[in-house]
Amino acid sequence: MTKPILTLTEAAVGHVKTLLAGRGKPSCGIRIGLRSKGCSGLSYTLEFADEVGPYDEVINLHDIKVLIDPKAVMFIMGSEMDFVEDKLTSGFVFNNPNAKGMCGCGESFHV
Amino acid sequence: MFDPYEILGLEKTFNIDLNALEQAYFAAQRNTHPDRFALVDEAKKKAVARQASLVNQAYALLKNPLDRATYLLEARGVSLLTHDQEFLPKVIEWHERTEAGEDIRSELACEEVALLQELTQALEHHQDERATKALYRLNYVQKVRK
Amino acid sequence: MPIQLVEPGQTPDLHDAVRGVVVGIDLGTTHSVVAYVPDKTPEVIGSLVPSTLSLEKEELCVGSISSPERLSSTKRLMGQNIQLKLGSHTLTSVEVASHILSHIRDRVEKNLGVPLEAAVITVPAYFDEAARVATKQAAALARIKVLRLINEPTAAALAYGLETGAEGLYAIYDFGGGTFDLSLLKLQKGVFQVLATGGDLALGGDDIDGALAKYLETIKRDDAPRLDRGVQGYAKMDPAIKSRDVTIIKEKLSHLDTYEGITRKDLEAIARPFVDKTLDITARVFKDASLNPKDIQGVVLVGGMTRMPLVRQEAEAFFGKAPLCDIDPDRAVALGAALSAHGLVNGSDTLLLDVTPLSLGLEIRGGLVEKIIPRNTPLPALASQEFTTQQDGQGGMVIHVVQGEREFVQDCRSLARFELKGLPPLPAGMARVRVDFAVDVEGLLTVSAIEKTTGLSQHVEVRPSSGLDDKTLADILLESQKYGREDMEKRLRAEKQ
Repeated sequence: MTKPILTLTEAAVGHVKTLLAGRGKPSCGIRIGLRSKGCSGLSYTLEFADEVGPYDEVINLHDIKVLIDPKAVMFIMGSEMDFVEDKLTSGFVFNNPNAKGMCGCGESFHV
Repeated sequence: MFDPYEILGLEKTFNIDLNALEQAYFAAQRNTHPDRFALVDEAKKKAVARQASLVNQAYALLKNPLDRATYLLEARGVSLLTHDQEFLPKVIEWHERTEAGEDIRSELACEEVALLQELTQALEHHQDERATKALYRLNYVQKVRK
Repeated sequence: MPIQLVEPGQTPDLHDAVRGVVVGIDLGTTHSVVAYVPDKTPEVIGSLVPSTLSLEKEELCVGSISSPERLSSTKRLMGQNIQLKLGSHTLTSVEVASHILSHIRDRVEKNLGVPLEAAVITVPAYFDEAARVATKQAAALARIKVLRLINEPTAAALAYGLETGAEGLYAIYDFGGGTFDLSLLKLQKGVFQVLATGGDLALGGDDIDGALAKYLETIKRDDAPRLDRGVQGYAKMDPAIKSRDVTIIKEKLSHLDTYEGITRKDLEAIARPFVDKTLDITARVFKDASLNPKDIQGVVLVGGMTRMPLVRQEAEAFFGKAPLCDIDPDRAVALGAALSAHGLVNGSDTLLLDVTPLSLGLEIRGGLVEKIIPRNTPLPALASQEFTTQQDGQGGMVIHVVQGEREFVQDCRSLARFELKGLPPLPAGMARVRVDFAVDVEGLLTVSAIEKTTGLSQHVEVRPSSGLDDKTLADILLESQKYGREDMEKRLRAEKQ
């Protein structure tokens, strides 16, 4: 059994469901993508999804269809999506418990 | 353990559809090729490059029927033959005929096809001993043909 | 910063207010071209820049083709440690390239009014490790961030494939001012897969020019071409003017039958051996890929030399079909590089799968080469090989990394040499040294070695030995010895406890 690509916290599930319900039109699910910030780094994007893209990784979590852009899969592997809220701001964050060995491919191999 | 079938998400069978293999390879590269991660930091780049290299290795291995058979047998703990007494007379015969100036290329080509069939059947029926024999002979014939 | 769940395509732009431009640069032997992707289609910025460096009133100046004192075609020396003289200046080919790149950066910034943020730079597919590293050094000197080096024929294929939506097997025949490359690619559904590549770094228009110049010198004084400076013994002329004349003659004869007493037949007789060489290489690449020229859908001609009617004619005869000339052969590479740069930064579904042009190996007993990564291996690539000691108690092992196709070390390019010291005192044949090769998508190699019974390891970023000055080399050696011993001591301490 392989580890799930992504897990959602209770708070995240609740807010995603509320947002999906409040969108005003049916959604296929949500899509997590990756976008570059100039040449300095990367950030996740989170959008409503109307259809599954040809290369999307599809996972079902708590009745939510989560589509993951292939570019984001490697980075998101093993992360937890949470919803945070404080006085100034609120939104989703991705916590990666093992950010160091994130691609999980450190095994040895034979020639 | 390096498992080319797992890396490309394919079922562990000897017979594979080469088109399906190629598509699985492209799909895996779409997820791991370093160009998809051009802007990440060096450490992540290395991890990505390593994974993409493994995808390349997996594809190269599975493309070649001999490598595929070797992998499947070794993964099952079967030890491969290092010599084959029964095959020796045939090898000597080929050698003598070639020395005498005879062109045995088409015969070898037929032999190769027959051995590949034999190998396929043996692997499908999990007849390991039969498979190792066919593999050993096929290796020899391919080397000679080159 | 927490992320908001938004409508598709509405993710707010997090980019800095002033965002630079990413470009593709074709750093050519005779001309350099820069392009970018303003919207979806790539565009060349300005015109072709002659890849020359000259002195104008004591100032170094890029792009002159008439200055009597100028350096040209220095790309052919990339990766070689040769000092070039220009007036009172002494420069290496890396420095010349960096001046050309700086000039390009200035031009981009002036034309577009935004800073140049990063670039994809193209190199001949057949460029070896040293020349690739040198190209990156030149970019660093010009303060240009390199997103990636890509191979020129691959860039051309990208430009052609994305422009025409072509699918199937294609040959890219890239005959430029200094180098020849041939790549075979399979194009399907956004995947550009190089199957095999080959080339010659000393086969280009420059060589034909040289042969033509020699021919002109043999012509009697009275028959000498009368260009714009009247009759004069050709051999006595200023070399700079001579080379310009040669270029003019070559260009005129691509559409005229005779020019200044030289016929197209004369030129073709001079050029034919070079063209034949390109076809020999082409045949070898087909053999490497186990393909036949009949198998391909089309052949794309790239590079200035493919304007020559003889080249087109011979290519058509070889491939059995008319070559494709949908895109300008001088601009295709830069356009492809721009598309690549755009895709790397903004994301794209296009996938470029390239290969290593030359085999990489290690020196073994008797000066022989053991190939670790054969040519045409898809990149990135990893490979390992185990070696052992030849003598009882052998304390060290020299690891000599070479690049090339030949059997003997002396015929290959030496990339790096380092010593794994402090091997455990074991009988001959008992030590287990594993050498790992990793080649990245740009074709750059990293080698590491590990002694398996002790875990003694060494990691070397390969820098071609010719590109290093002695001090750097000494520093690297010192460092590897130091760490080798440290690791060993650590290990011994651990074992004692």
